[in-house]
Amino acid sequence: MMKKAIRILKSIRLAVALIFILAALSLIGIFVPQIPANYSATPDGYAWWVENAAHSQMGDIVYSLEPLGLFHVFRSAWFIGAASLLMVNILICTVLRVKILQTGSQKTSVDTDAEFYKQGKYIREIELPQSIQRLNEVACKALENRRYSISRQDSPETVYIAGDKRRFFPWGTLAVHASLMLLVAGVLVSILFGFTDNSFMVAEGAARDIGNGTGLSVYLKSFADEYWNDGTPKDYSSDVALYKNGAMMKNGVIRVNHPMYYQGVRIHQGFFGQAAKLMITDADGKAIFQDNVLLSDMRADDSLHRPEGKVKLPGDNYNVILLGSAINGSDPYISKEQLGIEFYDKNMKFIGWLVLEKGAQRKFGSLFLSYENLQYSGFLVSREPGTSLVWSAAFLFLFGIGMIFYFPRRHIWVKMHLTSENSTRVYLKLEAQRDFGLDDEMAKLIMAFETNKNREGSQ
Amino acid sequence: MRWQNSLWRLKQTKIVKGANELNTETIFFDIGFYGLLLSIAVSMAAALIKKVRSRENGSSLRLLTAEKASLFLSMLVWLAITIFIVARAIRTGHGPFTSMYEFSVAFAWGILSMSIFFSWKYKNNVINLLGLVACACLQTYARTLSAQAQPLVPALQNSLLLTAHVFSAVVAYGAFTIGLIASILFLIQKDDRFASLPDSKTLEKIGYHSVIIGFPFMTLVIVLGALWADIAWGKFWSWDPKETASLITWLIYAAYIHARVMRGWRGVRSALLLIIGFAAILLTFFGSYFFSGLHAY
Repeated sequence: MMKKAIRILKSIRLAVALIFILAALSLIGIFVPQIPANYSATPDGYAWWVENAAHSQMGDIVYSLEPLGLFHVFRSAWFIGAASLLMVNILICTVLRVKILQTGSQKTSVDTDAEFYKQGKYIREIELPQSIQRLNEVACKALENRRYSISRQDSPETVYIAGDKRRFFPWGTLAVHASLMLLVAGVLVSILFGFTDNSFMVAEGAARDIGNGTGLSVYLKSFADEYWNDGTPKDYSSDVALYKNGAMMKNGVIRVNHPMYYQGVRIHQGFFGQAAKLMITDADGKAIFQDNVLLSDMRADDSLHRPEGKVKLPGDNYNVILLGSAINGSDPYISKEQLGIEFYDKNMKFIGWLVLEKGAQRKFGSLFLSYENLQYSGFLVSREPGTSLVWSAAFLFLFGIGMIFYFPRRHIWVKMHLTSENSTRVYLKLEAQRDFGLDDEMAKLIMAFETNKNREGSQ
Repeated sequence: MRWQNSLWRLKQTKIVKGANELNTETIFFDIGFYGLLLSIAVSMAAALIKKVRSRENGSSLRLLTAEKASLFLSMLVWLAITIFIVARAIRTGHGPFTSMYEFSVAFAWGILSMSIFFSWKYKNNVINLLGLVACACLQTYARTLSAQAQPLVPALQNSLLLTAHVFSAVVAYGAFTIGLIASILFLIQKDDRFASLPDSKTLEKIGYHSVIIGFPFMTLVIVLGALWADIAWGKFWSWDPKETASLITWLIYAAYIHARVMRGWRGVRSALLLIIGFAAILLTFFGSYFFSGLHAY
């Protein structure tokens, strides 16, 4: 039973089938919409996304696809199962391959019979009017010039030569398959011992703790977005300071392609959006609320999408929602230089709303409100201790595949047999894992013999 | 007075051409395009001569000359497209790989490079002819697109990785196109019924050889893309549709290699796999028309 299981698990047929299954599932992942991470994090978010986003795109078929896990196909049991099985297959094949490679990388045997030189695709036989000793020298020199490692077996009438080129290069196949396991190990190490925060948002002039045991916090001094003349984004840059336990550790500008690194933690520029510095005072001018608020959510009112931020005022009096101007069209209620404020009671019952002008103060009940326009910057913050394993795996794969594809092992056998006092019959045979270029190799070796013959003939 | 008018017109033409960035690039793009059409004509003539001669069962000096002329013309076209690519790279400061227009021309360059290499290596004009046709299709497609150099969005402002990533794709796709051509010809020629075409064994070998060249470069495309994504966004893999499509392509060719080397797949089955592999390349290439994602095109 165990033997049968291993036989199935090590089979190339299974490997090829699994590769096709993974390719087919990946194809599904392209054409079936995949749920974004922020929706899949909660069951409610997942249900909402399927009912709304996916349904509007695909119709009722979503109810058939959803139980199959096809909206998160790359995290589905199908995909993970097939990938895991493929890894097991690779592991078994890799272990078994070690012995084959050990045997295969032994030196090419000199010991051959007459039949040996009659079989094969790259065989040649030539008669040369030279002594066997002289041709022996010519053959050895030609092979050494072509970087063959040679072994010989001489007798006065017959000489056998065996040549090897790139004897250990077939081990590249082991490097290739081991690299895939190293890749998976790297990903697992990052998942188990690292962290990733895809939506780490900080408003200008504010600081936020990274958490995850780092003791680090990011203070965003300023954010700038630049555009080319045609409106295409040119640059997003965040001027930040990194603090640890209150002491500044690093200062710098983070932009796309230029992340900040500190003790294994990486901070990448991701996205940005509107923020507001909201100031609320009472009639005596005493501050009730003063903070930078991110308008990082999006609210759809009819066809307009407005950035939205929420604040709970101290004392359980009000819940306040801040609304920016619509990003997808002309907003009839809130212009770019305005901020909409909605007031709700502690039970989220709507009380009233007003529109604040930039730099001006307005009154709502006993409260006086004003705001300043800011931006927030969104970062991807991560610590992935397995990354070095992932890149080592990539390098190992490329190295291995280069070895086996571009520098295949080559074997050559030469037999020289004295036919008369000054005439020798030469038998040549070439073999390689991949036979591209063997014609050329054979031609060059023959040419070495011919050149020598002509040179000696002219002398 | 007339000559003064002519001079004024000439100056205006130069100014307009400068404004539209129609200079060295346009000239060499056009030389490349019309050179391609001429190469196809000469290559077809060589193929026709070969067909006639193979019926008469004799060699022909005329055939040899036509085949050599076709290969020589292909090299001139390759040179013209190379000059176009270099000129554009000098002007824009990065490899010309930032729009569908630029990548189409680069893809055509990749096909032509591989087509010249394989027709020289296997001494075969038909591979070159069909490579030229594929190249001309891409150049024609490029002519329908805007030639304006687009300003780079922040993520694309990594000249080294942009150039290395897309250049690897150009080489890989070029090699796989030759694999496709060899596979189609193999399916036509599987019983060696056409004397004017390469024999089926050679076609099978060309298909495999193309994968041996293309697959490491396809791996490099994915590795460099992942490295770039890791630097730009902090994630080396995002299951973006285009990167997933390139993974599918890679998986199909990996399956082909295993099936051929370990299971001894030859003939129709391996030819069909190469055709499916190329369909995955087309999906990756034209993917931006079907799905959105992190890739600009």
